[in-house]
Amino acid sequence: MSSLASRLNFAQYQRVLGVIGLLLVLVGLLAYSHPNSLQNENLNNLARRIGERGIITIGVGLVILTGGIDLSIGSVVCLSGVSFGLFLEAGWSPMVASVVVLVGSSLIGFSQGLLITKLRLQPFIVTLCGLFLWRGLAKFLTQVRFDKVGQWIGGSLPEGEAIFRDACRDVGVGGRQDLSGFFQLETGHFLGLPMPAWILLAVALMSWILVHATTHGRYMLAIGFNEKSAKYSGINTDAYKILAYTLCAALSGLFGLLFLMDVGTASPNTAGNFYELYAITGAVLGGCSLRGGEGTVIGMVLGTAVLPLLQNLVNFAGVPSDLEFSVIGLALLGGTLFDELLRRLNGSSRSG
Amino acid sequence: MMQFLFGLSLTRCIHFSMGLTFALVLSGCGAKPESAKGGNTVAFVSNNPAEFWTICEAGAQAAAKEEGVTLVFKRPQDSSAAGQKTIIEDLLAKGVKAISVSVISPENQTEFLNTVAKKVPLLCVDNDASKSNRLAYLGTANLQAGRSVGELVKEALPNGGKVAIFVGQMDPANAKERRQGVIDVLEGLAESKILRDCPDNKKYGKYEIIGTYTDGTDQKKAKDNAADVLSKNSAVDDLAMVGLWAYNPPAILSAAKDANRVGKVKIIGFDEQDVTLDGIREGSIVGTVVQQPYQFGFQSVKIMAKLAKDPQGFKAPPGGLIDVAHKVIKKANVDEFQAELKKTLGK
Repeated sequence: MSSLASRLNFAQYQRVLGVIGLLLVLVGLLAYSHPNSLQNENLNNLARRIGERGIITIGVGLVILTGGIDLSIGSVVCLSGVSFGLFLEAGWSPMVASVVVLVGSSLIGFSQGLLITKLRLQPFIVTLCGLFLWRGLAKFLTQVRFDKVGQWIGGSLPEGEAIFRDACRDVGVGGRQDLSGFFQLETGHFLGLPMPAWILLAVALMSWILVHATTHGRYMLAIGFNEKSAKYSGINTDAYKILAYTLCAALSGLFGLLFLMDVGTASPNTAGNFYELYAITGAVLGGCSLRGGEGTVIGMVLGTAVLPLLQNLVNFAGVPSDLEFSVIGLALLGGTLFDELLRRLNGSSRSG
Repeated sequence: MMQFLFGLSLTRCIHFSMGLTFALVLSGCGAKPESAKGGNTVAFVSNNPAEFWTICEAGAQAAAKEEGVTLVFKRPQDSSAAGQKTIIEDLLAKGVKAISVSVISPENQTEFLNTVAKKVPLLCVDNDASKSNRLAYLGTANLQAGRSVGELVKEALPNGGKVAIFVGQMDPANAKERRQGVIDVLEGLAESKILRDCPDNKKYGKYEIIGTYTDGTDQKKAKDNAADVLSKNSAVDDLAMVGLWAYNPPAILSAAKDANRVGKVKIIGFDEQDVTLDGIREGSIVGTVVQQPYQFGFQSVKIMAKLAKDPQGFKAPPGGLIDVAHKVIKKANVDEFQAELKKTLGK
């Protein structure tokens, strides 16, 4: 066990060095691309974007550690952002609204975790269903005229008025003037760093303690490495997996709140599209293996930084933005190939 | 092994969904045509589920009521050409008498649209497939609308400056034509007729186009793009930021607020989102060019109703183009326009 652990640690160490190397190259290119790229304004933007993205990367990272996958992240982001917008439109206090949204998203993760563990359904399928279901629910919610629900239930809805709109719509903070205080969570700064970066640091610290400083984390890695043997050695594998899915969905919900606070509006059609894939890309670049059982929280945070840096570089270097996806794809492929090469050279490759 | 399984389940999912679509299409083909019952049903198919189409549908319903026809209004949830195809096939199978479509991918859908045009009269609305056998195109003349946007840029920066353009995607015809119209006016061309190659990072007259930034309709990416342009050009005073799709101007304004550049940077928009109109009223947005989606719906259903009653009942104008004039909204007329819009939407 100890030799396995040290070998894994060595491999992880290597991955973290690899992603640091990639980040240095990107920062170098960015600095070279334009004199304003390393000015405060852009660094602030980058710190905020990395902070936001990192939250969902750690979320999916925890799931990937246990050998699972979560494809529903973007749709949970959408549902959370849209519901938050609906609550704000209805005049709720942002504090109450965000707590309700976070509890709701956690329940989504909990239910997906239950389906995966208790009914032994494949995570890919369950969360793929989630991908459709939660976005669909978000669209549906924006069609309901909540101000008329009372009359509708009481049967006193005036003739010619419908309880549903014809189509879904964008939600937003509308004319609310009382939100700027709460929205400091997204737009504010503390000690020179944007708040989302602090939120990421807090999330990362808690996840680091969970994964690397307690036996719980060892168990999660063991489940990802070999679920059967983990089960036979007495680990409550179901509980840990459910925990991972719940945390992932809760963090996606948190991201959804930040999304609405940043953009001011959320479209049920487009909010969060692709974000599960951005999160998975970040986690994989940071050294999480989709086979499970491998990964570090530090790696996830570093891996997160790659995509926002690349996108920023595309804008600063004046690369046509349509090429952005190709650049991302090549970066991920390059990182994976480089890593596989190092593994083989060290003979530490695990048969898949 | 795990990875192999992972890959396998992905392929299986794709096969499964393809099979499902196929089955749906087949079942669509098997249905009895509704026209046998003598109903006069006409159909409108949008290109996405966006709010823009709610206004269009209001106009379409009003015309349907006037003409005594039944209207089916469909919005492809995935905004894809494939989704549109499935919807149209089902509508044909149900026996609708005429179809209006906002085409997503003109070149690639032309062949399919021609098979549709063989069966029922076909109108292109909002987005044209000019090489197809459609009867007519009804919508904004986007080159002209782009020219109006260009005029707003000129008003805001009379001495020239840098111009950044923001849009969801560059392949739809409306994006290409609007950008072209903007550049033609900046360069001082009297008239815009065709699309030509206008690269970024080049001076057109007194104006330099510093970039065309796409976001794939992701609102957050739209804002990030705008923020990047603002920080890259933090020392540039004569900067205009042009948003060509509805959500772009609000995204630009939000980024300008974060960067404390509201009022300094000239924001020019397209379409009529509330934030855009409020921005014009406050003076943080210079102006916007709006289309008349209500008229898109109203006029196209009027034509389709004529065609449903008599297949020869409508003669398309030469070239098949029916221009629904756009409007320029500035501080002076924003209140009036917004009041009218609220009335249309029944808000």
